[in-house]
Amino acid sequence: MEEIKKIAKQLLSENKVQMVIGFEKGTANKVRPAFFTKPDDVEKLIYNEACIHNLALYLKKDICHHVSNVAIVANPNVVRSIIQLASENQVKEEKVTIIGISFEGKSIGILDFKAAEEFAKTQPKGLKPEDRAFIEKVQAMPMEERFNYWVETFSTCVKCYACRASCPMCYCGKCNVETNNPQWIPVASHKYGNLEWHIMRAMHLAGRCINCGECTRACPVDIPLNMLSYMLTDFVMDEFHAEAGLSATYAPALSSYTNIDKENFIK
Amino acid sequence: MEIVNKLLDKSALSALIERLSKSGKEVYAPVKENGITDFAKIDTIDTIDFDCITTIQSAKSLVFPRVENILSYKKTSEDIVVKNVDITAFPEVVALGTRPCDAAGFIPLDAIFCTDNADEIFNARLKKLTIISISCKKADEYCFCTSVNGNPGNTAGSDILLTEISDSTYFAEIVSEKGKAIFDANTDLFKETAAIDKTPHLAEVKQEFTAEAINEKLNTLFESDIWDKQSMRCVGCGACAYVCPACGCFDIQDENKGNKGIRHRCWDSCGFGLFTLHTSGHNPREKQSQRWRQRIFHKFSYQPVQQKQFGCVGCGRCSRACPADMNIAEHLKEIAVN
Ligand code: SF4
Ligand code: SF4
Ligand code: SF4
Ligand code: SF4
Repeated sequence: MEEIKKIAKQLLSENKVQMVIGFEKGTANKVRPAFFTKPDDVEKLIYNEACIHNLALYLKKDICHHVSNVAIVANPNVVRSIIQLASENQVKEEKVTIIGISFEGKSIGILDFKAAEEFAKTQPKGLKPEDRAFIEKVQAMPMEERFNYWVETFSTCVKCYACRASCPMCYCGKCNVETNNPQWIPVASHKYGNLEWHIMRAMHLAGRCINCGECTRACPVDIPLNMLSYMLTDFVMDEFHAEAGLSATYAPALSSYTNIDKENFIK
Repeated sequence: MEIVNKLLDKSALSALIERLSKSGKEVYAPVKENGITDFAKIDTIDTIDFDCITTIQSAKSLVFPRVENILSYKKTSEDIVVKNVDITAFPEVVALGTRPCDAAGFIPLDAIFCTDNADEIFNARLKKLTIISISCKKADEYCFCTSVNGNPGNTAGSDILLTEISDSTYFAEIVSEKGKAIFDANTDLFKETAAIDKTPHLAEVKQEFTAEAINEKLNTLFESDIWDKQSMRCVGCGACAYVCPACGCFDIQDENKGNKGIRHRCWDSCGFGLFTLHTSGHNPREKQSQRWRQRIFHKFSYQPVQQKQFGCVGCGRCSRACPADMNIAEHLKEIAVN
């Protein structure tokens, strides 16, 4: 942590960046995202095992719009999110300084995008065994039971969109749920309105979700909605041999075409 | 009416719940399911989670559901037939185990729905709601009812308030006519008592500021940079408004199918950018900090003027639910000393 503070302080005092995104102490034993703009503020920066929020989401929020250079304390999830955002032309290397940190809290130092890609490749990725077990359990259900399972699971969703607001990949200025001419997804959070919203969300994250779990962490009613996009992670891997957040120049599976893409869905 | 003091044993509460649900009333209470506690329909005391400090969501959905049909319409060759929702068909509901802050939350909520015109649907539901609250023995670091004119044994908004005075007994305060109706129908379950000092049985919640002081401060803070500073980590969602007992904003949405459809009322939140987006593309609240400012101003500056009520009861739900740990008590305290 001291190493990270040193880097953050130096970046700010040399005016290489105008803001460092990291963590500070939160309510009781919580931590919270924090934005440091002066070298002295950095004293408040902390990093511990509670620092699991995916800070990359702030790169696309209005607080970063008027900052020319920003540094971000980046664990492997944040690194992968930045790489994914870069592959979608959403962040520019010259604007973002990555202060790498392992999941255990070991400082890796400043990473350029090339080094970030290398770092991401060495880190644990993909689904955790418990996620895979969950998915296998659901996938083993007969179709109707599975459908009802998801309808039921999403029935408590209040459509607060905390999941969307917390996902770094959900940066669209106008989300499909807000398109109303024509209206694709019902605004109401009734059963099918909820199901449609979640199916749409998962489809739009196919091959883009980096499995950070931030969406589910943000959900006030603890809906395991990340499992839908996680399922698609394996699917996109199997079908397109593509994995999100590992290459800043990768063309996202759903918006590109290569001649190895299968066309067996055309019948 | 003047508060009537009684005793209610826990076994009698259990019998009361069974009688209420047998008599056709829907009884809602905090129930723990899949690891979280929220209000759910019950018919026995056994399913109630008495331990939780507050449910994740407030009890407001009993009178202001997150989505409700308000009318249906049908176009025929001659006419358009509009059918309002049948407000006489709403069930009699008892909210049991609400906290004093939950109960107090119905007061500003009611005030919102009765400004200018009394909202028929909301009022029909409210009229059929009886609130039996339980005083708080425990509070957590998010609670701040005492800073906004409440307290862990506050009777305001409740029809009956129960305070646990021993492992087997509640001190019952019959606060309103609705409460009295339940008492009158079940007198055999209650015992006589003199007034009891509840204080030793209540949680301690330190008063950190006053709602009046916030109101006063806001007069000069509209242009302050405090909103930018406080809201930097706010991600702009609806979690805080949706769990809040006193937030009443809604959206009206038609769901059309061919030549018929349903009109819904759905929760909405000032935390969303879309909330104030004009058709022209102009957005008077274009930054998250302006939306955060609106949340605080509405509750502590506009509502006291428009409805003579503060729009916050200090339950701390918004802070607990916030994905970015925006702690409203901490922010209000900062405003109070600004
Ligand atoms: S896990 Fe959730 S928050 Fe993280 S990238 Fe996937 S969809 Fe977004
Ligand atoms: S955060 Fe949870 S409740 Fe809110 S929209 Fe997402 S899934 Fe629904
Ligand atoms: S304060 Fe928290 S819950 Fe409310 S809009 Fe901001 S991030 Fe969402
Ligand atoms: S603003 Fe927050 S603390 Fe105040 S009543 Fe609403 S949820 Fe409770």
